[in-house]
Amino acid sequence: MLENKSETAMTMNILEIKNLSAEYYRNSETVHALRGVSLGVAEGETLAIAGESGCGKSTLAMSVLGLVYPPQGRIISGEVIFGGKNLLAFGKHDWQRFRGKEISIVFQDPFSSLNPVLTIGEQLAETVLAHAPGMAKNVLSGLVTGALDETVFEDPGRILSSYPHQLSGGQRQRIMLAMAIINRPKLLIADEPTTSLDVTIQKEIMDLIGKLRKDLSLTVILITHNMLLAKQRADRIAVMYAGEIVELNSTEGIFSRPLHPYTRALMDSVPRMLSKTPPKALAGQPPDLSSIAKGCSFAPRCREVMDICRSSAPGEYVIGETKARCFLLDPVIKIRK
Amino acid sequence: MLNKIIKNRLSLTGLGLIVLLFCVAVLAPVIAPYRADAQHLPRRLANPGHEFLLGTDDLGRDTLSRMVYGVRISLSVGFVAVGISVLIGTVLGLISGFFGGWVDTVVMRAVDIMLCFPTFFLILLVIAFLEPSIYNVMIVIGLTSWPGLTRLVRAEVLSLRERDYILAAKLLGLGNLRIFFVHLLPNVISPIIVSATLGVGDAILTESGLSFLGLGVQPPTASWGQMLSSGKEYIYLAWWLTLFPGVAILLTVLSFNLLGEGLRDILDPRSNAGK
Amino acid sequence: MRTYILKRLSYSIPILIGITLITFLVMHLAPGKPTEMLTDMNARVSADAKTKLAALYGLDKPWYVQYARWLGRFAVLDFGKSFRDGRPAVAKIAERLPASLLLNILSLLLILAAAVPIGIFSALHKDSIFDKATTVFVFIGFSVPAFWLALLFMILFGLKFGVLPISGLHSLDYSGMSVPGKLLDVASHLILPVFISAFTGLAGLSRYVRSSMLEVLRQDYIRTAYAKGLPENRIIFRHALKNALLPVVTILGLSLPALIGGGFIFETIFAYPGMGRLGYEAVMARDYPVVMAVGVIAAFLTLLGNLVADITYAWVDPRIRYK
Repeated sequence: MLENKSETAMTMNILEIKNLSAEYYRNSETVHALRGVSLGVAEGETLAIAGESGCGKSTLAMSVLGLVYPPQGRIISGEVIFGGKNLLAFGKHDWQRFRGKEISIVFQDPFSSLNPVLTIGEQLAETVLAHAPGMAKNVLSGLVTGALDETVFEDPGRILSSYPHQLSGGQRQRIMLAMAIINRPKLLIADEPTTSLDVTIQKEIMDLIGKLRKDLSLTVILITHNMLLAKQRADRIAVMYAGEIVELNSTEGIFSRPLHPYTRALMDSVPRMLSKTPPKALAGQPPDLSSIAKGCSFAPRCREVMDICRSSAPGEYVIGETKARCFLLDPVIKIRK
Repeated sequence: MLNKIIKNRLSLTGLGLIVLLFCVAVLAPVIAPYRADAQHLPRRLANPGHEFLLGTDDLGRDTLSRMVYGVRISLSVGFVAVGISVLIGTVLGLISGFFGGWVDTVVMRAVDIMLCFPTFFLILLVIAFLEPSIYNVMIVIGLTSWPGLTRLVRAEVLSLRERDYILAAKLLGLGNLRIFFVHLLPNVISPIIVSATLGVGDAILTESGLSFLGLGVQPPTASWGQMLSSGKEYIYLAWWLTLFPGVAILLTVLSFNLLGEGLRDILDPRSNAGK
Repeated sequence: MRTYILKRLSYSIPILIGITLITFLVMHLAPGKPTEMLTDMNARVSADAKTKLAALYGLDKPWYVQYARWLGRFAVLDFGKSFRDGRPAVAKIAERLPASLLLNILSLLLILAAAVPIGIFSALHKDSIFDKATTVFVFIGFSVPAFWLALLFMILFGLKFGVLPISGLHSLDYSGMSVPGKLLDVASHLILPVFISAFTGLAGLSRYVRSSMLEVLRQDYIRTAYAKGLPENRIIFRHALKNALLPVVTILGLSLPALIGGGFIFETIFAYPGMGRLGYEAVMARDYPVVMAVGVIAAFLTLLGNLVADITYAWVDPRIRYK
């Protein structure tokens, strides 16, 4: 039994992030956006990375695709293992062949993410040609139309010759998705895919992502600040705060038995139907990441803060498939308290 | 603010040069070895040497001294001309952008029309009618350079006008004049400063061109352009009369351009300045 | 698109009227009536004859009537006759305009050919030695008085090396030359003016291209292009460039008046038979018909240039072209 478990555990992680740290530079300040993030993503699952703005979730996504580099930023240390290779050792050429083919990403704002002066058709076609140069025209056009079909476009011909500004927000995001899946990647990163869209379109897009995941056997990393969205769509949730993962658990676990005080505060702040207690907002601001304070980064806002939290930073405490970065989980400290 | 200027290499060089120029202008009588109009007739068209560091012209006047006094001319023309155009341009731009409507239409049409004429031609025309003198030059340059600034100010005002704090000010019943000075102007100042700085350089170039053609500063006053004009007669005999005043113009205009571009890098929030 | 063109054209008309009006007003505000210029030299002309002459030119009618008549004549390009040699002003301009256009167009082409690559390369290699060096180079071009540079080059090339001609457009024995000889002759006369004109104009455009490119490279769609795994060449030359060069089109249109205007001193030094020198000489000689003609035509060309630039921009940018 034990053997089976470890076997499946080993073969299931399509992406393994080990102790990743990254910083970026803004206004002559150094922002420590990622501080020792470790995370495993199982094949076929939908993993949500949730947290407030500025917690580092987008930087994490960008790091996986190697899009954090000088002069704007730098990956300081860590490994990103995918398909048996450490992506961070990639050179420019390696990255060019890898991105958009093995791992794809859709960004938050589909309008600014599409080139305004090129047609949709061209932007789709080039995605294919970048990884299969010299493809026959009819094969190419079949792939492109197919992608539009998969992203539920009714009139592909018209769409292909249109420019981004002629489409609606929902359509643009579907184009982004089409570009992302056209080369049949193994992993799709969706960075706040619905945040810029109308609420009515949000469900449409999320449903589409779900459908694509099923049809193409994708693994999906969903980055969001919306806990409800995470609850609806994700199998597991990694909660991030101040550049670290503070809790990682199944969705059901996060919502029923949150371990980290931050997660608990997040749960309290989500309005729940049929609940008598009103949501409780979390006071304070996330810390300024240009300077790293001593101790736990959540200590200033934590309702259950202890003395030790202010002087030393907690490591990750692993319990089965769950982990949380909090001294409350430390059996020794608990006893002392 | 001063910190930022020091950090930016462009503006620092420009500012340094300008400060130097100002010192020269103020200390001219002290620095110049001779008086600007002093003629040394036995030593006409003398080569640069010990006695006259940069040579003399056809009336035996020391080139170096004339160049030193020329700083005053160039700087005063530059600043007065720009002062005039900034005044006109800012007022018109503020009014046009803020009030909109037919005021805006009229002003912008006027701007468009003026911009169609080759500036130099306009200046030429006006000066030809009036008597060429340094004052006329200053005024005319000022009167022909405001259109560009007006457009700039208007664009800035237009983008600011819809900002919430302006609307808030209006709602609070603040008078238009107060809105102008307290809320709009401080934000409009940045592009004005950049434009004005670059404008000084431009004005100096224009003045030297006019003086070169004989339509600007009149002899015996020493303007660099004018020196180039009289030097042209002896261009193959006395190359120093052509070389040095031109270098002076180049360095002066360059310093204002450097400062202006440097300021633009600093003041424009959208630019890729700093790191 | 069509509506845009129509709107743009209709916007230009009041400007055209404004141009003609101002030119007309300036002419009439000038001290010294045109007729006095003709008659002052001749003391024997009686007062009576003077009034007759004034009536002939229509100078006794109210200004708006004069303006209307002037407009009418403007429409058929009749600007009157030069005071200096009695030839029609239009004719004088017609013989000078091609030379000016030649100079300006060549200069513009040279500027384009140099500024665009320089600007792009500087943006791609920001803060490199190349970027810094070209920045210095470009700033000097910005700040140098063109006429002075012309003088220096004249000394250098014209005298010391005797390689390039320093005045005019043709050598004295032009008419006797063979066709290739003529071409070479014109070309050699053009080298210095075009080069200097381009050098001073290079600065503005290359800085502009650079900052436009830098702005584009920061955009989200460039990030998307990298994220899709597109090869770098394609990202720069297809995605970035197309966007970065759009505003350059407008700037080109605005450069036109600068070129036309800057020509005045320039042409004088090189004794170049262009419109600029014609205008200068006319102003100095108070030759009003020619002055007015030059002014209006220059302004009109500028207006045309702006119009073409705007329409080209609208055609090239899909966001405007398609709704």
